[in-house]
Amino acid sequence: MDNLAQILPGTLDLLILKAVSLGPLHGYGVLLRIGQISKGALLIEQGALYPALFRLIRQGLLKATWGTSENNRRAKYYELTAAGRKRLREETEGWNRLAAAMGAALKATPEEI
Amino acid sequence: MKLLSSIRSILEFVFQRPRVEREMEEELRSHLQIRADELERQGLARAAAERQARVEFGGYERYREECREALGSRLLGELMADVRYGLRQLRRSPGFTAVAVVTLGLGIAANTAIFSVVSGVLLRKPPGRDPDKVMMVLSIDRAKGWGDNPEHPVSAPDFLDWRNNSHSFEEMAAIAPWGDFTLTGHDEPEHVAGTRVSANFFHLLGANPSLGRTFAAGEDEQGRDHVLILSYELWQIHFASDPSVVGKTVKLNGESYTVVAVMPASFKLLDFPTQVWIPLAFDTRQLGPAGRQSRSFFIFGRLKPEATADQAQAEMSTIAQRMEQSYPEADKGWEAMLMSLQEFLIQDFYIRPALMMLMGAVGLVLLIACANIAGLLLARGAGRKHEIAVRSAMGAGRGRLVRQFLSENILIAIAGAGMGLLLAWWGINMLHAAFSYNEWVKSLEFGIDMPVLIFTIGLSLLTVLLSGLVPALQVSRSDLHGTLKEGGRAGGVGVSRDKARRVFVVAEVALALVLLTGAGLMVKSFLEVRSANPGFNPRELLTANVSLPSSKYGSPSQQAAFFQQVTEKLRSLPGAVSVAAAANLPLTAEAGTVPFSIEGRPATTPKERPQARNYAVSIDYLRTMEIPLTRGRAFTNFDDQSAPPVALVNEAFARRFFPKEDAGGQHISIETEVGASSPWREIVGVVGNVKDYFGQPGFNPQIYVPYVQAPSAEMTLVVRTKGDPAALASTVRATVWSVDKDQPLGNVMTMSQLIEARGVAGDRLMGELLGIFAGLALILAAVGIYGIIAHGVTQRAHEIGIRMALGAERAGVLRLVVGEGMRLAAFGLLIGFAFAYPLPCLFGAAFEGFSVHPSWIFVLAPALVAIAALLASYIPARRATKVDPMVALRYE
Repeated sequence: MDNLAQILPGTLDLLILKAVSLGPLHGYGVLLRIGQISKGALLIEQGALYPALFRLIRQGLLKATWGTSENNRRAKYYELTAAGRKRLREETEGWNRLAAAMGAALKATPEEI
Repeated sequence: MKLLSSIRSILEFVFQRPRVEREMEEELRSHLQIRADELERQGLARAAAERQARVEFGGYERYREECREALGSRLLGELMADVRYGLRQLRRSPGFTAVAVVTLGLGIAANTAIFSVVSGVLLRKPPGRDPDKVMMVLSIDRAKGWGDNPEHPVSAPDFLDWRNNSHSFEEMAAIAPWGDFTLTGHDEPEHVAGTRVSANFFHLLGANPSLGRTFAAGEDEQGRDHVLILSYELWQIHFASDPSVVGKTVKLNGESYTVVAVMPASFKLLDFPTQVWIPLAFDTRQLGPAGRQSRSFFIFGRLKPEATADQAQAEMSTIAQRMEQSYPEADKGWEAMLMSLQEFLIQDFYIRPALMMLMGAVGLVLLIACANIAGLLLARGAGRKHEIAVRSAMGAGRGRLVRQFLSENILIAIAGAGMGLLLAWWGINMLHAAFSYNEWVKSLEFGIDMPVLIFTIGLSLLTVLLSGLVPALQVSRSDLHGTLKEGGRAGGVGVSRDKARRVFVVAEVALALVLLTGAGLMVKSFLEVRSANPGFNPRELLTANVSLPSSKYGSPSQQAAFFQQVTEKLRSLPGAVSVAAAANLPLTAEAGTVPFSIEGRPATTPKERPQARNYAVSIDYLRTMEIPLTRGRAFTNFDDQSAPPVALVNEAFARRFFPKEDAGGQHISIETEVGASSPWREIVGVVGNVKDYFGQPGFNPQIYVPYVQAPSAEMTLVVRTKGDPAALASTVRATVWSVDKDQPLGNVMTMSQLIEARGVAGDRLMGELLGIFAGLALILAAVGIYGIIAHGVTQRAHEIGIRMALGAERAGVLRLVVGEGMRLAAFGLLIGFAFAYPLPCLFGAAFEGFSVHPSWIFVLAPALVAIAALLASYIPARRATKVDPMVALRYE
């Protein structure tokens, strides 16, 4: 487990939005998708996903419908709303700016000062 | 968007909690199953896979709780906490809570009840289709005879000319209301109120019968007019709701009529109470030249869709002017006036000014209630400044503080509104019962008027919210540091906020004074009118109304003989002291005014002739009513049809028309019947003045004639009794029936009951209601003053403690606190007096005959308010002196 990165607070919502933006998913599917797109590098405790999903629903960023999973289980499927898509775009930009800034800052050498 | 979905989520969570919970549970379980399926595929046994899935999921219960929170339970939780906190706060000050809730409740209830009744009466639409298009056309006497209204019904020839010459109306119809008929052919003869109507009357109103058909064209012609329409009420009571009544034959005044329809219960015209409608066929006399002066028909017209009331009025004025020229004898000085039916029904009802005044009164009560609430809440808010500052310093956000204050005040508002609703419902029922003095008002149905209820509750909510917001906002704006340092005493000495409270005290005192003065004037007027000597002795009199059917008693001599016989028989009853019959009774407004001529004075046109109230009475009338004979003689048995015509006049008559000479021996001629040649009557005596109607300011000239010389089919029997007159009622009935078993008796009641029914009740109700509202205002104002001053005292406990510790006398402290309250009250009284002073004038303008000497009211009302204010400041002042200085100093 030590080789898995703990995710930063606040980034879970962004990851969920991103995962769902690639196609409707049920809860477990969201976890699998995050694992897949982060190449298994990000750790999320499975249960922690659900409060985040419900919060996003309440904020109107996600919508949910009941459907049937590939192995015939009844499951709730999530997809992005228009507001969710917009939020994903904004947050992605924000994250990229932050990451770039952090990356640049951490790469700084004594010569550059 | 976010807000919307938040609200939806919270609402779902609140109202569909089981479903939301179930779905959440199902989703989490489905997750575990899917994961377990996958683990199973990787080679684990099912049980092991499920256990593994559970472990990987993490703290199941914890996440479920977090999910709930994410769904909106946190907001809900905060709200619940606010409500719980609010309830606790309110419970901690039960006095404040009770006063606030009761004040709100009373304000809301008084307004809702009165406004509901007002809109039920004043804004009620007449029945039928598109009632706004239905107009009444009236004749207006340009010269308006004294003591009379200028509006008159219309004569038959005038009506026909109007109908033929006007183009603004789709159709016009005439009615002759207030007919008295005897319905027989069933078990008991019954007195019914009938209205004769043009055949197109129902079509004009657009009113459909619930059974049968309304009158057909042509049925208002002589010979075809023996058809009749029943009111719902008569059909229900007299015909036992018989559905096959249409087509049956009944006897009305001895003649056969065929029932063609039953009108629905909702078909009611306030002014024209009717149990049967029969066609109106004008006879030759009504259509003749003399008929043009006999104005007795009410004219309805339905405006064409494109015509306005103003256009129609202009057209009718032109027509009326033409008719003045064509028929100067009858129509000179007469105009035509239009009025919507709705307006007509209300104005003729004489209740508009009364209702308007009640509305004003309850409006004041609501204002006082709002001022009260605002004052109380502001005072309370100021007192909690310290608490708010502490909470704020500990991190409570401004929004959170406001929300908490609001939820507390909303609780008060909800409780107040609930109480108001209950009281309003009760009040409307009570008003309805109180209105029962009049059959036709009794038949109205009142309900709580929704817009009014919403308005009053809205207004109270607004007051509560605004006055609740102020302290929360003020504190969050103000310097926390300062407030905390002052140690909570700031509320008592803060000058600007104190000013607001002072303003409320002053306003409340002023409003209470205005209301109390108004109520005092009404009550005094009522007492004055009631105690005024009517000129006769109304106690121990029994009255019974007899209306003889023309079929049986067609000739005047038959009518006279009947009443002769009945009065003879009644006189021999052991309980009867004296018996008389009269065509109309005093104090009941029954006697009409008639024009007359005086022999030897220049002949005048009918319109310029003097007028007097005309009473046709039997011998013994003066003795029975105990009206004094001041000069000459009373009527005797010799004054019959064959004897020379005679008359009595009252002193007002003698003084006005014969100021210098003796009225006795003079001759007058009364035009009781248009066109009939009126004989000269010799005035044989002068009698005391009698009030014609209840509340009459002075005395009018009156003429009495012996009824045998001017017989009438409708008379009232009057019996002066030994002891309780009501006890003789059944004997009187039996006596009349022993003369004619088919003769119905209407309204057997004592004179006091009759007076009560004809006028007193309305005045009394008005006085009582205003009295109630004034009392309410006084109590509310006193409570408001008490609340504010008591609060001030609590705030100043520290200061008072210091004063007393430094040796201030109890009396001094008392003077200090009471003095402050009384200074404010005095200021309020001054302002209130400025508004109350013109009230007698205003009332005089609103109510005919209202004249009250307001002297003692202008002393009593301020005195009452002052006493209330004194008490309201004395009680907290006394409490202040009881404060132990040590406790006060340690306070906070």
